[in-house]
Amino acid sequence: MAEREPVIGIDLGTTNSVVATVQGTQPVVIRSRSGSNLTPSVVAVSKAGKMLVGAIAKRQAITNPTDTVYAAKRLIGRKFSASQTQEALKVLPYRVRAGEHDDIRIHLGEREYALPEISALVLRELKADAEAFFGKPVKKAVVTVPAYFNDGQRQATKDAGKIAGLDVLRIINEPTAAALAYGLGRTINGKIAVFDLGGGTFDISVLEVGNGVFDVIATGGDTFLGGEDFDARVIDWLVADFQKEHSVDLRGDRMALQRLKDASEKAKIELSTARETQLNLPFISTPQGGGAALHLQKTLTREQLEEMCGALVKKAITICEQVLEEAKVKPIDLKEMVLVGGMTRMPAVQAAVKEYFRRDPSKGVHPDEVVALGAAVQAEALTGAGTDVVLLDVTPQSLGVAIAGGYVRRLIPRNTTVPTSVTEVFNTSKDQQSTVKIMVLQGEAEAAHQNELLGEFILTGLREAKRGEVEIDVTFDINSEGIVSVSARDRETGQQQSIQVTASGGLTEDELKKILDEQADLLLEVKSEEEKKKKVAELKALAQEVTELIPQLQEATRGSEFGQDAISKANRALEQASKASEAADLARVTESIDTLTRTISLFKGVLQRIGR
Amino acid sequence: MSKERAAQLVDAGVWLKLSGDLDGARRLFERALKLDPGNEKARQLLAAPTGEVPTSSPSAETSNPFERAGASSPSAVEREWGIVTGPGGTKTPAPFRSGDSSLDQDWGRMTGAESPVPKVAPVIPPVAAPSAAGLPPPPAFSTSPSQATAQFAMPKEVRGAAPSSPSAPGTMVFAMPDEVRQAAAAPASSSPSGTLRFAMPDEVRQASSPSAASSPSGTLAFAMPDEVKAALGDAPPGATDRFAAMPAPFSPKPSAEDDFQAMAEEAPVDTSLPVERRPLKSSPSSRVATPLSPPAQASSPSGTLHFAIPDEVRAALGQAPASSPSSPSQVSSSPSGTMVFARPSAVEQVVKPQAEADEFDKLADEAEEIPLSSRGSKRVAPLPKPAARKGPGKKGAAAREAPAPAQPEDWGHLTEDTGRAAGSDSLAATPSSAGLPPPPAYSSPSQPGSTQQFAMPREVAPARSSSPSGTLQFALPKDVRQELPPEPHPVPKTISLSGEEAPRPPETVVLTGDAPPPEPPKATPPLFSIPEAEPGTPSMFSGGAPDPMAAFNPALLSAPAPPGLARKPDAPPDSAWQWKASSTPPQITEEAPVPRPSPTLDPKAQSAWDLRSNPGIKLEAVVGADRAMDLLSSDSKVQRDPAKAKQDEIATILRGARDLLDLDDHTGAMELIDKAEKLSPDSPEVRQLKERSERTLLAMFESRLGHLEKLPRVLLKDDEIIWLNLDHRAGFVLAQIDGTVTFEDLFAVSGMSRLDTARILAQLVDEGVISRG
Repeated sequence: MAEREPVIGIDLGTTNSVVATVQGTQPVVIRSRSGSNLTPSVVAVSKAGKMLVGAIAKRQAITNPTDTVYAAKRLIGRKFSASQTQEALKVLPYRVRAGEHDDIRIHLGEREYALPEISALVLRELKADAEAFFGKPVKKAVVTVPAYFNDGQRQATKDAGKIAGLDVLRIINEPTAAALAYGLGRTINGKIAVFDLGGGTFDISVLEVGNGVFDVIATGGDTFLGGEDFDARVIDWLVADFQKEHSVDLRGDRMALQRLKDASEKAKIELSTARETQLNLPFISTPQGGGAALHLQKTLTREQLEEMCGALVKKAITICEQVLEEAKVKPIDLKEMVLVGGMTRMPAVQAAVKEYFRRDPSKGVHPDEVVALGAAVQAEALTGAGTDVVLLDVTPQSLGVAIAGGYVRRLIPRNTTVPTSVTEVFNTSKDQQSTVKIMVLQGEAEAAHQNELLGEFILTGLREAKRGEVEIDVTFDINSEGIVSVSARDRETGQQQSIQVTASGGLTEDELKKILDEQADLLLEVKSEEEKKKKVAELKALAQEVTELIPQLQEATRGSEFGQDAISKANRALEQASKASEAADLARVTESIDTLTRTISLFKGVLQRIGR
Repeated sequence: MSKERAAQLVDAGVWLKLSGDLDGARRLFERALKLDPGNEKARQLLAAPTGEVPTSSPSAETSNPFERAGASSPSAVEREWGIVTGPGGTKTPAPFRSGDSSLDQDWGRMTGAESPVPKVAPVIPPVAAPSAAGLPPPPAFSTSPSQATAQFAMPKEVRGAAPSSPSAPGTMVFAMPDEVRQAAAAPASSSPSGTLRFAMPDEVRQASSPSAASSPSGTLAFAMPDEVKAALGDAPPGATDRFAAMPAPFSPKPSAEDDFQAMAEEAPVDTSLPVERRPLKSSPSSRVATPLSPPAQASSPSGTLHFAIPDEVRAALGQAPASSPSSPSQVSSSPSGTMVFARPSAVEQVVKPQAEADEFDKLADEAEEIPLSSRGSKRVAPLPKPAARKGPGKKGAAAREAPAPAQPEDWGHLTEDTGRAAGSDSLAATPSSAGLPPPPAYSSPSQPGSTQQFAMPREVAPARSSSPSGTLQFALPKDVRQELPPEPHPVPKTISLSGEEAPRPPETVVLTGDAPPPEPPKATPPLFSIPEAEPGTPSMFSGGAPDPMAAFNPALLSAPAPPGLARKPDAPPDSAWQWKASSTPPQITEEAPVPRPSPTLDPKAQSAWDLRSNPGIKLEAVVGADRAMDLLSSDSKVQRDPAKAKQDEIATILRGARDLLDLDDHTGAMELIDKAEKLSPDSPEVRQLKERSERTLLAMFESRLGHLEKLPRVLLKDDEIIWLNLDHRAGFVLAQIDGTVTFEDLFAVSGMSRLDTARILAQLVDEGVISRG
């Protein structure tokens, strides 16, 4: 039986990303090469020009702010001019500018990157971890996105996967993946809530689960509420206290700030299980006027932390109330409560959730791994190996057309499972109208201009008649890939026009192709470098061996001229090997390897015959 | 050049021989022969029996300062000492007459360098044997008869002094050392104690009172500077009178010799005291002091000066310093030879007020650096040599032109104007046969009427300040002497030291305060014209006597100004190379020699080294053209290019950095390179040096880390870490080490340069804080 191709599920989070797979029947998290389950979704270029991804990039995020990209998820798939983009740019320290198509470009190091390229770097890191885990290449993956992501954002995520060298089988919603991880599709029929408080964003989703269908009936949240905000509160407290004690503002020192951030996060995590923790930061600051470096040593209790962060927790609960009310769901109607995200480990958060939802949340799965595990389950199911139900994909937002008066006629409501196809009859709105314009909109707003325009086309040759007499069939068709096709047909003449609406992730086809080619070249170059390094190491080892054999041979053939020629040739070969390794010329290195290999073989043979 | 050097060595060897150092003399002769195998003198000296000094044949062109052209063959002593005629015109035998003609010859040779300085009338002291104490003969003096100036260089070896002898007004009396006297075998008619008489400048004469004309035997009388007087304290009654009305030291007075003689004879001398113990009067003025003290305070006969012997001289004689409280004002203790001189600083200071003293110093110092050439265009004819002496011939004459090797080169030599008035015989002084070093030779102006220019030698400068009693020292630089054209020197004014009246040619310089000073030469502007004294400045002369330093007005000297250095007559008084003319320049004789054209600094010249304008300056002889640099005063209008200055600073810093790199002090080199980088961030040289240093340092630090792909671990506990001496940067790096990051990762996350990170990590490894890779 041929070995199955490995598939992975990836939780591409705002702050941290996780990769998992199903081993046997159980989904497991694949640890990073550094041994951690979580990989920070941070990309940076060091001062030396080296690309850093993951934990190493996070360690220098504050000391190298302009060349460190984090929370790219807040920007991926959005237009530069979008309000959410402008809101996000206010707090982001790295350089962002508008692209040719109003897309977002990030300046990192010495070049600019599209958002999918940034996310691709993280995905590539996860892919490498998975390949290290499997010991073979990994191609297929299921990637999760927030439930409120539009088609453009989802497409951009897919593009990122493609750039990373992954075949993204499916883009699934994060709450859905979480529900899958708990196996709720099999055990529950009803409504569940997914409380997702991650590192950077907060999402509350209400799903209708039944018959293997996970229908997201409500979703909401705050893209700027997450664990980092909790860390910030701790940092503020430490800085204020240090300033009071030493009259030194640690915010002015990036190194100190970085250490404070790391220490605060660590303390916050520790306080989820301990009542208090020590923050010990020796040599945190050197006074301006010189002298011994200052130390920071503080004790932080859970109570203090909860007091500092209470408002944040309350905000999250408030958002839950709004979403449930909108969905006309009461907490008591929920069958299950799923916690997602590391911050849900915080006792205060759990308490608040319990208090509002009036039930204990499910804790069987680690909240920071659950999404990735669910994605792995879905990936396993999609490849046909798994027995789990395949999630039905749904449209995240309603699709419709603009109608007279500036309103929207929704043809496909949001959360409609895909694939789907809907047809509706429309009429002309004016007498003698021979042309009609079909505008495809996506969104929930009533006014046409408040929704996102996916595309438009014109249908001509209509029979001139009084208004309302001409009938036109408009069909919305969404396939399993999420591609929306809209067509309009004159019932009377049979004339038809259609468009295919493909979500744009910000990159054009040509751009995507170019990036993919560059990536391929880069991969080749990386591989070539790796191979060169290996060869050079091998050459050096051979040279060392020859160097050790020469005196032995000289000793063995002392007093005779036998072997002198060989020794001199060996010395020459060593010189050439040294030059080849210095030049790192693969061809010369390979040639030297052959030469030295033969030399070693010869010398060993002679020594063997002589009896040494 | 080697011949000249050989001649110098020969001369020095002669002196050593005379001093009794035969081995040293022999070595010098041998060296001279090596340099110049054709040096007959050296060969003769080597071959000569001990004590004998071969003579050199006289030559018309000899630069023997004491040779006079056309003069009858004088004795060697006469030749050496010049011809001094007393007021009566009789020839005074040279004080150092010696029967050894070779010694006479040596005298002449030792002192016979060419000099642009007008040759002063040779001073023939009374024949007196030098003291048995082996004192060196007094220095030779040359005076310009026509200008009635006397210039002389006082050697360091001036020691002792013969007892003073009465001197006639207008005469300068030198105490002659016993040895000199003995060697010279001075005739009885000479000064009984072996005094050296010189024509006294008019200023001196004027300043001195006629009654103080006579000086104790063996004393050289000069106008005493105020400070000398102050240093000396109260002088004995006899001595007090001597310094009354002291004239300028070298004010020429054609007819003042009688006055000088009279001055020297008039002033009684307390002969009860040894000459060196006879107090000298000095004025109460702190700085205004010259060898010629004001007449009111003079204690010596008019025109006579008593000076304490410099300490170094005393030390050589084994005497107590003159500045000792016991004898603050005593002269040399030599019974027979007391030579007293004024302190050169006093000389200059008497001329000008204190404010101008600095200018003198400055110019004098500058004069040391700048080769002066005499303005005198005529060479002083050498003194006639004693008949018994045989000169070395032309070669010897040429050799004689070289300065005595034992003397500082700047001393120059006296080239005596051998031309003298009829009836005045010159007496040459021969060096002591006791082996005393010869007096320094002085070059005198070659012709009367020309001005004398001289550079204050370096040796004079310390002597000025150190000698408590004051030593008047003047020397003509070698270059100055060489500038002198070989023209005969008019007969200088003769000075009688023995009290005998000698016919005084008009150009004879007499040191007397009575006769009016001669008219200054009009043709040649002075090289060093004395700055005008400020009104109210105490003058060394009371009673309105002319400023004695006016005697130093080169206009009084017969030597023309050296080319390139003289200035135009109408040049502003404060321009370079220029002394301010005195208000009453001393008079000079009518028969002043035609001066040579003075070298001038072209007003358009941009540099002192501008050869076009200063043809007299042989730049290549002094220093390479590219090395000649002008002075730049602190307030000079010439602004230094700031960019150049910055470049120079950077170059200096980089030079230091390279030196440190060569010494493998890369840390120190980096500090300097950082400094240079701040000054010039874009300099490729700085960048290159920085990269080189960084590479080396980085390699050093990384080698201490081990494998960079390994994961370091913290080896200390938290409570141990806190006691380390780290800064916040090291603390940050240490905080990143958690067992999950490699050294390479640390380089990436440190936020610092790789070098700084490596340095910190190496420190942590060395201190055992973290493990090695």
